[in-house]
Amino acid sequence: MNRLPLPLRRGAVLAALAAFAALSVAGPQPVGAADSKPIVIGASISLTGAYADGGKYSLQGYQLWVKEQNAKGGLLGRQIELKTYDDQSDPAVGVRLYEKLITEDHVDLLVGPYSSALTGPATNVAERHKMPIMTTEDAAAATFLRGFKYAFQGLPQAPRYVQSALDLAKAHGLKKIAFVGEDTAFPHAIGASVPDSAKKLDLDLVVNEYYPHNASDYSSLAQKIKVSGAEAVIAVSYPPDSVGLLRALKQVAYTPKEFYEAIGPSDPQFWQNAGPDANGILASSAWSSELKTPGNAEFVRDFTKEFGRMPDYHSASSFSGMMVLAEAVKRAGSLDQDKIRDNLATLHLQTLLGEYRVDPATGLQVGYQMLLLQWQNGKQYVVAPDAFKQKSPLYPFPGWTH
Amino acid sequence: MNRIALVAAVAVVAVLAAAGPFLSGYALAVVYQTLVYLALAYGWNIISGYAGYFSFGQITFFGIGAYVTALSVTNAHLDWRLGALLGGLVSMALALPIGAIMLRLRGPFFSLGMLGLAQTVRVLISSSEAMGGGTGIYLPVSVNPLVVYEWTLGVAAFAFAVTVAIDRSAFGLRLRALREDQQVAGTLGVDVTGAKIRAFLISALIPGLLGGGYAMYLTLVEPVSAFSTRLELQSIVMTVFGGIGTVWGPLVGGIVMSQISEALWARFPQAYLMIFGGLLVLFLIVLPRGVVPAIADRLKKRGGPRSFTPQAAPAARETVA
Amino acid sequence: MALTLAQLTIDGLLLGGIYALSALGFNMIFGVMRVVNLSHGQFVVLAALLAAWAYSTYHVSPLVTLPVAVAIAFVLGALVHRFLLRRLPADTSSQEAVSLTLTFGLSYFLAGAGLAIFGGTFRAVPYLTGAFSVGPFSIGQARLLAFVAAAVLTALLAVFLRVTPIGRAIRATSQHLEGAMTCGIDVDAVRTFSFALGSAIAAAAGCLLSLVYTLNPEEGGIFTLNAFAVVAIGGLGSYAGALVGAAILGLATSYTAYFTNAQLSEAAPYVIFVLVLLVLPAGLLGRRTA
Repeated sequence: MNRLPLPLRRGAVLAALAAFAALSVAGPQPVGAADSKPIVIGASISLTGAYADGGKYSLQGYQLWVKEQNAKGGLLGRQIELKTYDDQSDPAVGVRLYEKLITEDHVDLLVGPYSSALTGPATNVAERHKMPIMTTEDAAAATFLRGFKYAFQGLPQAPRYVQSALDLAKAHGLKKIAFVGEDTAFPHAIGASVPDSAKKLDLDLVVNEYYPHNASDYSSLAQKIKVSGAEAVIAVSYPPDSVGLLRALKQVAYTPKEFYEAIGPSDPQFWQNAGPDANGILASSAWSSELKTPGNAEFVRDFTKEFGRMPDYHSASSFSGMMVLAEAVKRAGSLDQDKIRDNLATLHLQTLLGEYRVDPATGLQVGYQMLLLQWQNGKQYVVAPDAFKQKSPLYPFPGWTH
Repeated sequence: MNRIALVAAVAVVAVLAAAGPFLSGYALAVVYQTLVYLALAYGWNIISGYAGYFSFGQITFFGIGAYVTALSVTNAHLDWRLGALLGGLVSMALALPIGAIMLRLRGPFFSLGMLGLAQTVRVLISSSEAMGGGTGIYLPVSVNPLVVYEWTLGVAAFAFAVTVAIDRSAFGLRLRALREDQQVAGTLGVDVTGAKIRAFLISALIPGLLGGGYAMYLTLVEPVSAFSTRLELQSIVMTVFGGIGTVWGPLVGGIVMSQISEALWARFPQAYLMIFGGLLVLFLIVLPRGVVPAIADRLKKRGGPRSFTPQAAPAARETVA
Repeated sequence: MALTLAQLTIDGLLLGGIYALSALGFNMIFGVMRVVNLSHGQFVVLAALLAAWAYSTYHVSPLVTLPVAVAIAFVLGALVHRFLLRRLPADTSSQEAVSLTLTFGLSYFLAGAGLAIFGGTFRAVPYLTGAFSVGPFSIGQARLLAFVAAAVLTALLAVFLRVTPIGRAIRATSQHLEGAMTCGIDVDAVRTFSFALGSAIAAAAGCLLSLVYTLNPEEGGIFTLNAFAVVAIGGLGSYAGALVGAAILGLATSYTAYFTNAQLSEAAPYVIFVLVLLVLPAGLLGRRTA
């Protein structure tokens, strides 16, 4: 087939190019700032792609807060409107969306996207436009250690996730532990601290490995753990890989004394996907539905009524982030971004997750604590720390069903 | 080739360069993303359109460019543009052995072998601590996105210029010849291996030059977004839609498809994939060779049969009957 | 060590069964039509999600869902061929690229449809999750089922292609197109039937694999890629070759994951695939294809 150079009519080409140029130079539209208009809070959230699972929980937390706050009279006497877009779990799309929210939609306030991979780039956009951003789903410290003034962390820092699981292993006299994690930003942020923490507790780290995102097969990894003689399996895994790893361990017929899977099992639907084998599995969460923080019981009740499922900690975190942001706005008394920023940096506030408090210099979270959860016969309970404990941990891990 | 069209293209590049500072953050982001797609599409079009080696893995070089830049900025403290240039050169250098091996595969073997290559390189980087593993590398946040935009505009213009040059050259003819039939081209004295490797090098250089800008733009380079299958596939879709192996195809396809895609995701996040995939299928049924060749055929038909293409033939017969 | 090695070999072969199962429909469609069906994995995943949905909503075993999914996929496959693939230009130089792009677009479409129907969250079926103990070894039940199913389905397909008239017509079409046409075979109908059958086999694989994997609607690509690697190593269109290719890939994945790390094992299929093809361009057991 021969394709000769194409004698395109100049009209067609020029029209196309002109259209492109026109589209490109279309600047922001002026927006009046009448006080009767609602206050717009903007965010990008992953509703499709790799982070869709957690993204939806997170979005629903935002939505519920906005609905309830509007019923209570809104903010600064104005109603609140939530403006969100789907970033498709793609950081470049996330950057574009925050640019859109800031320069095109002229939102008044910003809250964060879902996951560390999206929050890192998004906070940079907010910083450039000098708008504070209350992040709610990024536990990695690296995001906040880049000299930013306007980014605030709304989750406990990553290393805190795994500490209680290691303490528990130590308390029960275990010697050998295996660490595995998904090969993405957040598990790495946690995993980086594990060798040191293990050493301090005199625990022998016999496996220390990452597996790829969307990995399909865990058999050999499970075999490796079995052969290593590890007594505790400390995994940092999301819901799908938590189930995959669990099944693989079951299929190599290996029962650890302690089985911890950081994030995956904190999903309220974990039991449904994993079945009764989930009994005795430990997880970390910044939040639990049973936590006695102010407003938590109402939050769980309203969320379940609104969305027909239990909230998970992403929902509680995004809801709490909104509480913090609103308080900072109230104290600032206006939408002055720098005043809001200063209040976010110095505020101490009781939220669903506990006390919000950040290091004023970096925005790193120092107030929130981690909880250790355990599935026991189809229900999640807080088993540590003692202050929040609902039940004693089921220990050792009871093993697989047949 | 229409000289006025070329002049217009130069004018558009000049306008876009001058307009940068006046664009809103979002408009800049949209045009930037479109330019990334355009440049990727032009890069891909050389090896896959002209030479007929349908690659699903040119994003490998985009990722390599991004990582080379990140490492030169964080370790060697180079200016990122130097790093990005280096990224392009490293990509091209690596493309030489890679091309020599992969181009021995034909048809779908090459296509999916390249896809496998992208996955392999991604996994290798992901399992390397020096490259930041799955976390990736956080980059300095001081770079103005406008500078990244200008860099990318430059790369896109370069990619376009290279395409125009190839399209009119004897080299371009050789590539088309080997696309139609390698054996015949070989017997006619075309250095088949040399020609396709050179095309592959160009198709590696362009994404290699782009990757560094992308990393600086995101302030974070990590394996999943650096070796983004989405970027790869969208740029392919754009070229196929516009007209594969043509000068104007990637431009028309890139602009139209990125506008459609930008309009779709905002309104229908849940149905986005379905609509996008559905449109692609529909276009292929209606215009299997792309928009640009279809328009060209239409124009030729109106102006009388100036050239004979296989696609134009049945159409002509229909009008007679 | 010897015990571990033996266990890894068992795991690798079981994994090979899974690869073989998910490559069977893909191989058939390529063999008959020379179409690399990039939407193949999406058929697998959608059937798996259907099975998982039926299980979580109505507690229906995926083995019961299987015939339903197979029927749906058969009809869907027939429609895709009748109204889409058949309309592509017959011109050979661009057909390959166009059919590749078309099935790629179709995979996007199906992934989107999956999102709309099942939502973006992953699904898993807690069913047959246990393992049989044989001496010192353990054999996952779901994996064993997939392994047996791969062998049975391959055998059934081989018998079908040899014994039934339509099977013979399919073989004739795939071996010698002009010859088949001269014999009065309705090549178009044969191709539609083949594409439908290939899609149905993909759906059967999906229902069985719902027991093994946790999946979401956008994960079809990995099955397509693995199917391609399996089939390319074994020789496109060769069913015995696909079994060999699958076993090689399964073993390679299993060993690399154990002896190096889980990340490198993800790359193993591609490296092997490229190496094999450089040495044997037609694959291990393949006849030369165009």
